[in-house]
Amino acid sequence: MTSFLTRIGGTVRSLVVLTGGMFLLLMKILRSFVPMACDSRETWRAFYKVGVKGFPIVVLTALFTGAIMVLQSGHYVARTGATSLLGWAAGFAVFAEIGPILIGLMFSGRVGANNTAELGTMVVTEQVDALRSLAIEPTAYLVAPRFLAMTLMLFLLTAMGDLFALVGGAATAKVMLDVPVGIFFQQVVDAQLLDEYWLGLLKGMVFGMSIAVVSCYFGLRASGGAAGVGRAVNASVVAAAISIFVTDYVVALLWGAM
Amino acid sequence: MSQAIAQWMDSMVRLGRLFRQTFTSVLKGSLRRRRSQLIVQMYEIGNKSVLFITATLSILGMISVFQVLKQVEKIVPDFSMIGPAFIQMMIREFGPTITGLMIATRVGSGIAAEVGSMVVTEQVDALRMSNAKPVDYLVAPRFVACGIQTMMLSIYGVVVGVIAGSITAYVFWNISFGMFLRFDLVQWGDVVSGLLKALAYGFTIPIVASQAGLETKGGSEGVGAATTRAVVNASFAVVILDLLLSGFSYLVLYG
Amino acid sequence: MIVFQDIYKRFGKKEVLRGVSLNVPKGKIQYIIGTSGAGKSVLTKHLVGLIRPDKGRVLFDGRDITDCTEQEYFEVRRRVATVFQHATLFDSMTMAENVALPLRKHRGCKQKEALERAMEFLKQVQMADYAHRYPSDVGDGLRKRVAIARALTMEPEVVIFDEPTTGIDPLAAANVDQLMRHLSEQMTVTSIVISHDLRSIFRVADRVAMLYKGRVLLEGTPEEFRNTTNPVVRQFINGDAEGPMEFPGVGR
Repeated sequence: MTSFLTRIGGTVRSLVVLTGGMFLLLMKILRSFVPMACDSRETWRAFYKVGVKGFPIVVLTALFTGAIMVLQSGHYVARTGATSLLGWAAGFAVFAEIGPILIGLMFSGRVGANNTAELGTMVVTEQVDALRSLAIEPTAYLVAPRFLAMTLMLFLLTAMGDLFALVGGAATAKVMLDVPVGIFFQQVVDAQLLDEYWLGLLKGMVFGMSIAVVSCYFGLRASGGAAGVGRAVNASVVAAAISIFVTDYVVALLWGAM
Repeated sequence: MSQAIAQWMDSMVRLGRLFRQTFTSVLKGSLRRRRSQLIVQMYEIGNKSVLFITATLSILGMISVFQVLKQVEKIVPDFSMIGPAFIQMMIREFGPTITGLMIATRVGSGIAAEVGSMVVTEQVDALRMSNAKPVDYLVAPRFVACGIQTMMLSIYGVVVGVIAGSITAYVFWNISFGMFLRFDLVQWGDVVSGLLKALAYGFTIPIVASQAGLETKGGSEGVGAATTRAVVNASFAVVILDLLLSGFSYLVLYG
Repeated sequence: MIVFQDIYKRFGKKEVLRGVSLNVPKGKIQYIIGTSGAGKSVLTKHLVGLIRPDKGRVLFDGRDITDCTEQEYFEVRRRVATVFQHATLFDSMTMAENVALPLRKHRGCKQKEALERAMEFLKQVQMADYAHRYPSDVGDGLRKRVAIARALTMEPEVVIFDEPTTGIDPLAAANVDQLMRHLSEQMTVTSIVISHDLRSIFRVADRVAMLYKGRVLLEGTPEEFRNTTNPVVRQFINGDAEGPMEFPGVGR
C-alpha cells in the first residue's frame, strides 16, 4: 500500500516540477518581448516553416473531420429524418470542439514534434551551448520566435481549417445523405454559430501557445544522444496532447461562465 | 507536386509490404517463441498508457457534455436524451478515435524512437547478422500487443469518458445518473463499429511507427525526424481509417 | 589572468575534478592535456559558466566569477570565446552566416555589413571559398576553421580551443598552430588549448598542464614535460599502451 502511495506521490511531484518548469519557460518567453529581444530573422523563418509544414496537414485533417462529423450526425438524421438539423449539428461540433482539437492534435504532431526534434538535436550536438558561449540568449533567439509563429499560425490554421471542414462536410452530405450543398450551408448559417466559431479560434490560439511551450521545453531538455532526442519527442507529444485537453476544458469553462 | 505524390505512393507500397510481412510472421507463429517480448510490449503499450488515457478521455467527456448541455439549454431544455446520445457517440466514434489518436501519439512516437535509436546504434544490423529478422523480433510483438491493447484501452476510454460526462451533467445541471446513464440509443451496430475502429487503429499504428523507425537515417537528427514522422503518419492514418470506417458503417446500416 | 582554485565537480557518481588548481598567465598559450575523460572540457567549461563547480572558485581578470548569474556570464563570454570540439556550427545557416551571427548580435551590424565583415574573418582562416556552403557539406577539419573564425569575430581576450587539431590532417593542423601563435604574439590573446596532440604541444605551447585522476599531475613548460621522470607522464608522452597509468572504466 505504501509503495503505491509513494508512486502516486512521486508522479504528483514530477507533474508539479514539469508544470512549474513550463510556466517558468513561458515567463522567460514573455519577458523576451518586453523589450523586444526576439530575433526577427528567426521569427520570419519560423513563420515560414510552421506555415509550410502545418498548412497541408491541417487542410486534409479538416476536410476529413467535416466529413466524419456529417457521417456521425447522419446516423441520427437517418433514424429520425431530421435532415434540417444536419448543418447545425455538424457545424456546432466542428467549430466548438472537434475542429480545434483535431487540428490542434495534428499540428502538435506535425509542427510540435518537429520542433522538439530540432531543438533536441541542437542541444545534443552542443549547438545551444555554442549559442550561450557566444553570449546569445537561447530563449530570445530560439524559443520566442517559435512561440510567436506557432501561436499565430495555429490561430490562422484553425480559422481556415474550420471552413475547410464545412467543405468536407458539405461534400459528404451530398454524396452520402443526398443533402444538397446549398441547403447544407444554409443550415450552418441559420444555426448562427459565430460564437462557436470564435470559441474555436480562441482554443486554437491557446493550443498554439501550449504546443509551443511544451515542445520547446522538452526539446531544450533533451540529453543522451540520438536516443535522447527520440525520448524527448515522445514525451513532448504526450504532454502536448494532455495540455490540449486541459486547456480546452479551461477555455470552455471560462467561455461558458461569461 | 507530382514528385510528392510519387513519394507518397512509394511509401504506401513499402507500408503495405511491412504489413504483409508482419501478418505472415504472426500467422507463422513467430510469437509463440517470443511470448515474453509480447508481454513486455503489452505492458509498455497498455498498462503504461492507462493514466494518459484516463486523463485525456475524462476531460473529453467533461468538455463534450458541458458544451452540448450549454447549447441544448438555450434551444430546447429537454435533457432526457443527452445522456443516451452521448453514450452512443462515445461508443461509436469518440471513444475509439480519440483513444486511437492518443495511442498514435504516445505509442507511435515511442516505437519510432525506440526502433530508430536501435537503427542508429546499429543494433538492427546486428540482429540481421545473427539471422534474426527485425520484423519477427521487433515489429510482430508490437503489432499484436498494440492491436489488443488499443481495443482494451478504447473500451476503458469509453467507460472513463462516460463516467466523467455523467459527473459533469450531475454537478452542473443536476441531471441524475439514472437519467443520464441509459443505453436506449446504443445498438449492436454501434458497438461493432467502435470495436472495429479500435482494432483497425491498433493494428495500423505499430506498422506505421515501425516503418518510420526502421527507415531512420543519420544520427540524432534522423531519430528526431523518424519520431515526428511516426506521430504524424499514425495520427493521420487514424483519421483516414475513421473516415473510411464511418462511411462503411453508415452504408451498411442505412445504405 | 585566469585562475582555477581547487575545483571539484562530479556528475552523478562520477567525480571528474578533484581539486584542480591552475593559473593561466595572460597572453600565453596554455595547453591542458590528459586522457579522454580526464575532465579537460569540463574544466574549461567552468570558465564560461556552462558548468558550475561543486566546490572551488574561478577567477577571471582578478574578479571572482564563480557565482555569476547567466546574465552576468554574458559579459565574460564576450571576452572569452570557445571553439568547441565538434566545431558546433549551426546547421541551418551557411558558413558566412554562421560567422556573421555574433557580429549581428553584439556589434549591431546589419545583415549585409555583417556578412562582409564575416568574409574578412573567413579569409583569415582560409575558408573564404566556402562562405556560401553549409556546415554539413564539409568535413570536420574545415568546419573547425570556420568555428575559429566565428570565435574571433568577438575580438576576444581569451580563446578556448577544445581539441583543435584532432581529426584533421597534419598540414591543416600546422595551420591551426600557426594561427594560435599569431593570436598570442600579434593580438595578445590568451589561448587555452585542450589537446593530446604532442606535436602541437612541442611546437607552440608556452605552458602545459596535465590532468590525471581529477587533479593537475604536472604543470610547466614543454621542456619540463619532455624531461620529466614522472612515469605516468612519460607513458603519455611515449604513447605506451602499458604502464602505470590507470584509465577510467578500463579493467572493471
